[in-house]
Amino acid sequence: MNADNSDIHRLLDEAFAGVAMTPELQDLKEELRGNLAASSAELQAKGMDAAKAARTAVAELGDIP
Amino acid sequence: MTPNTRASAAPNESSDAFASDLLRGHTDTIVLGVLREADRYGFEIYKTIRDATDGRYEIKEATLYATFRRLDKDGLVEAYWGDETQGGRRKYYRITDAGRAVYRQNVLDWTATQQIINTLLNLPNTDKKETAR
Repeated sequence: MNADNSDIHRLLDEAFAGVAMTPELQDLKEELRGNLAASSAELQAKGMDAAKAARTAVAELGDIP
Repeated sequence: MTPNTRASAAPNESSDAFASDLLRGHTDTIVLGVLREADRYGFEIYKTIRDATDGRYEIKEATLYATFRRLDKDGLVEAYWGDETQGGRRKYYRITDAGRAVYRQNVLDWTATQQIINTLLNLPNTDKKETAR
């Protein structure tokens, strides 16, 4: 489970790259991390591999920050 | 109903043949309703709405996060962090008493509105009504 989430951490950092971080945004980023992990886990339970599940979960978020 | 169609499709709720504008106007109430029975975290709320409608209505997740912030700011929900040790901590939302009151009022308002719209959309033919008298 931890190994699976490394993709999420990376994609999340990329999504927030260049954004001036406020405490509110940091909070949102952490919230997204937990939700992306759950979303990715659901996709993997349907047979998707970890990398694709992470990408899909992030793509489905839309423009958050 | 195919589980993975959403993966390839752009996040576009209006592809379904119902008025997503109408639904969007009730997002706050829908989220409050989802929280009535249990505290839930974001993806769980999203999933509850998606699964309750058999995937016909998928709220945009970005819309959901904006809703959470607004409900929190208005004191209708309270957020707290779960104690998950693996897979990322989850931010849970709990409905407040004020949130329950707003939910109940919104349901009453919707019920009344629905009745009015149904009446107006089903007005009997006035000519017939006259002759029937």
